[in-house]
Amino acid sequence: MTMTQTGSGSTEISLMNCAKSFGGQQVLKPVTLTIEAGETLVLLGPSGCGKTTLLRIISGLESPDNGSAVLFNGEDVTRLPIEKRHVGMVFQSYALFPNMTVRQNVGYGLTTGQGNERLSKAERDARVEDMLKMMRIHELADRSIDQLSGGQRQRVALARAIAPRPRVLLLDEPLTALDATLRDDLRMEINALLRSLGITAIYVTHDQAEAMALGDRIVVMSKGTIEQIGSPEEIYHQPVNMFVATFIGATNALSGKWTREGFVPDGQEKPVATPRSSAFGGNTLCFRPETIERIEESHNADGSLEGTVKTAAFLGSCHRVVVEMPGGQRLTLEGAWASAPAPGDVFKFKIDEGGVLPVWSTNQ
Amino acid sequence: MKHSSLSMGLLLLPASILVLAFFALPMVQLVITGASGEEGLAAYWSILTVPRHREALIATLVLSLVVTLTALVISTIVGVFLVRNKFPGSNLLVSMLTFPLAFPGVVIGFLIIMLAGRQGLIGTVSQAVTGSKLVFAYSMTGLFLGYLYFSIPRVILTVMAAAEKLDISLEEAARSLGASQWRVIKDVLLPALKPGLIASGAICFATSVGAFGTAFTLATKIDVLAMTIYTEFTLGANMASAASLSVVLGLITWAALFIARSLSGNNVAAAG
Repeated sequence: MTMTQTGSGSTEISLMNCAKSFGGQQVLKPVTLTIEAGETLVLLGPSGCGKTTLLRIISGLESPDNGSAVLFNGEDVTRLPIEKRHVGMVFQSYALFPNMTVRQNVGYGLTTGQGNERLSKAERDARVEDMLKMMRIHELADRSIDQLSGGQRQRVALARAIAPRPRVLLLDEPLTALDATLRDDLRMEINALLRSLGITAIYVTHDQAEAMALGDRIVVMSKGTIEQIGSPEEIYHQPVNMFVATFIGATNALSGKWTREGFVPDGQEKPVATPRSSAFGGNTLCFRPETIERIEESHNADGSLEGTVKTAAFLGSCHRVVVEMPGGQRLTLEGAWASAPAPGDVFKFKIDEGGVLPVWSTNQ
Repeated sequence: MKHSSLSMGLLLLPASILVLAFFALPMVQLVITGASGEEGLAAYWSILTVPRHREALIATLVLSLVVTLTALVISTIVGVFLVRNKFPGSNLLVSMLTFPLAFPGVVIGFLIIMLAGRQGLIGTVSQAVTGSKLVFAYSMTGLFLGYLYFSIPRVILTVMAAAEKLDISLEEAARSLGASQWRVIKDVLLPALKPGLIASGAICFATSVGAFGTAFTLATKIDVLAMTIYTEFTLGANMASAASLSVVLGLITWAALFIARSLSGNNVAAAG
């Protein structure tokens, strides 16, 4: 893979009080955030959470409300339109020019005089060749766009976006339109590409697996506000509220009561988790499906829970069961167990102390 | 198989009779009449050899071409603007702009007379202001305005339909790559509108070449082909000449639509 440097080295992006209103309604509440040079930041959230609006403000396609500021390496670009910001952009719909060949698409950004870069014809051709080779679309160079598959189109779109060596690469759900296997392959490829370029990248997605795989940091958004910013590990293991806990990964929320003795599930007398001062008064215990220990039915252990297996599936690397608790609540549990549980079986387990998520109540 | 092809033949019969009676026969008759005059088949060359016919042909082609190009430019700008910007009254404006579609050519000619004729609005105002009456309804300018008036609606509707379907992210992508406003228009917008512009331009051209009503109302001093045909058989009673000119007129409009169809890949229907 050829190394390509970005135009002006890596760019740090600062957002100060960036808000956006449409027709009197604030779809993005004020956001203050710094994206470090060379970092890959993922904006994650359900549709309508404001992630695309934030990306469009950074790109210059949308201008933020008064009082907002966008800085690239300290330079105020808030009022600079997108064509002067020198950003690379990749769209969900690919947005390739249908009247141009693959080669012309990739080379387009080199013909507009962007970033005050004046390249000779030979230099432009060489750069396009590099990009085509790097994205392994060299043999498609003279094809027209409608002869390409979805995956090939997105490679062309990526090559086109990075060919002018932008200061920032902005990706708006680039894999959403692709089928699952292709998505995984291209995701790994984009990851490797971003690492090798060392470019500051902002990646919008609603797919948490994509966010976990690509982001140095993830910004979880909902209803126009940031819920949490953190590394994938932090977001997964230390969610700050119920929204983040349930949006990222699978989460079981066992209802009961946090008392001075610990957590007592509904319909049970003995606590199943040690007390936590911050949890006192809360009414749920949240944990991931895989943070449990299965216990032999005959075995008696403190703090164990049991229910009836409703469905059981073998996923290859582990088993997954849905267990109905005495109160009627259903939990999803996973593990690599020696014997396969079957529907109707009694399933006895214990929640790992370390697996209890720091989210206590559904009232948030 | 034999049975079914027989019944197919029977089913096709009414259509065949219809085509024969109302289309092929008059067409053949027209072509024969065109060659029935004193000069025979040479009548078909009269459009180039007779100065009056040649001038009418050139005037018609130049006028139609200028009308088509002007209509395309105006309609593209207005059509794209109207699709991109919704404002109070924009729907009303669209229906007003497309209103002339419903008018017969005579009415459009009359409107131009009302505007720039001897008793027209412009004449009255110019006399009051400068002392001399500005009258251009009966000139090439008047004809141009009239043709433009009925051409714009046809093109605007096509442009608006095409502009509705434009993928806005294509323009955003071009801008993200540093393209100026002009480059976006040249590289993204116009190529996307091209099939629609060719199709509606061809219709516009063909309609202008064949337009009679407006010409009949206004073209007292100028000869366009449709008017020449009319005078040939009414005043001159020269059926052969009128027929041969009709065939040529038909061929020109057919060729315009044919070329447009092969260029745009779309179906181009004749109109007017």
